[in-house]
Amino acid sequence: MLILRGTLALSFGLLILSPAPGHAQDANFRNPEQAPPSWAQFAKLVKYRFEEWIAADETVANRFRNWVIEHFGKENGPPPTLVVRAWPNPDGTVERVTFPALNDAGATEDLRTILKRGNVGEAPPPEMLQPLNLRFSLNLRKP
Amino acid sequence: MEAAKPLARDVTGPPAASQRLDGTAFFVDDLGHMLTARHAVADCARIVVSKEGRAVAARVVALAASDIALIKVPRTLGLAAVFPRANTSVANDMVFAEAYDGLKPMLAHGGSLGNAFVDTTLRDPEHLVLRSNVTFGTSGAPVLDSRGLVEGVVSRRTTVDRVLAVDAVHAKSFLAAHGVRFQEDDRPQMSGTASRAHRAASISARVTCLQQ
Repeated sequence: MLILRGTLALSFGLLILSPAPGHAQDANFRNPEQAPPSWAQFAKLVKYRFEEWIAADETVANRFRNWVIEHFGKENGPPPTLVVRAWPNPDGTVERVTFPALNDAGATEDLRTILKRGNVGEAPPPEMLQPLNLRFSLNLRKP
Repeated sequence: MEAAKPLARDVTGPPAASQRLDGTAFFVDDLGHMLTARHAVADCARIVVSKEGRAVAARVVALAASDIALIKVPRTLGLAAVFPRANTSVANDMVFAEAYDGLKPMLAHGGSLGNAFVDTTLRDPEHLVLRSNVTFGTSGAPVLDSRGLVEGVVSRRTTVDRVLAVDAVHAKSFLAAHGVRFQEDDRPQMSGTASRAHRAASISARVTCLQQ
């Protein structure tokens, strides 16, 4: 069986995918190197949960992974990297996620369902800028 | 004075059943290495690590002279612990230490900032002495300080409310001697108001020693 495993780069705050030199000083954005360790720890936990939820053996996750496997490398397949913005709630649930639509409405909706389905397990640091910007590489690896 | 008691839970069943000992272990890197109490995993026929409904086999990498052991599972399930660079625990610092199996009811009630205190009235060159009422199953649990850093690894109870934990200095030395690249930082790893019980749940798991 193949599982989907994301590798990840992250940042915090309003959308900056490729921050320009001056952006590091933006009060609404932090690079991970400039963020407090508590933010980075929480982001690592979100990364772990997202990977676990995508790899879960249940209907929606299985369907999403099958779509990735079947369409990987094709023109209408998943992009090599995907930036997900996530807004976690104080209780550890995920309020909202956004990402560029995939080339399949069903796969897009499946991924949105997967990434909002559980509880991260910890509260986000109250001062942490949101959203979390998580960049996944959609690699297929054997477990 | 009460004799020192290991804090692994003996869950031995009827004679026909396998002998089981439950303790706690926690992740120390992103490769699946975990620290636990030596007495919780020594002389086991099999070791199983369980977390959030998942159970995986573990193997012993090394046993220390003190009451700690390094075990490994295929990959890290959750977060890896962060150790302090400097040994900074002082008397009456509030810390958190709990058996993995004791965390779930705590989380259901909103978590906990601390459940034990550092006691420096009893000097011990190798251990952190805690005033704590933790009980069986806590062997190998991380002792988290107010910054979310691991100050020790629970070993055994010496009196009804005193618990010894192998301190972070010895734990780090043991890990380094076995090539484990653990994280160190003196900065807070969680916000001041965040539940240490939740962080303990993120980094730890139940470790079960099957002796037959």
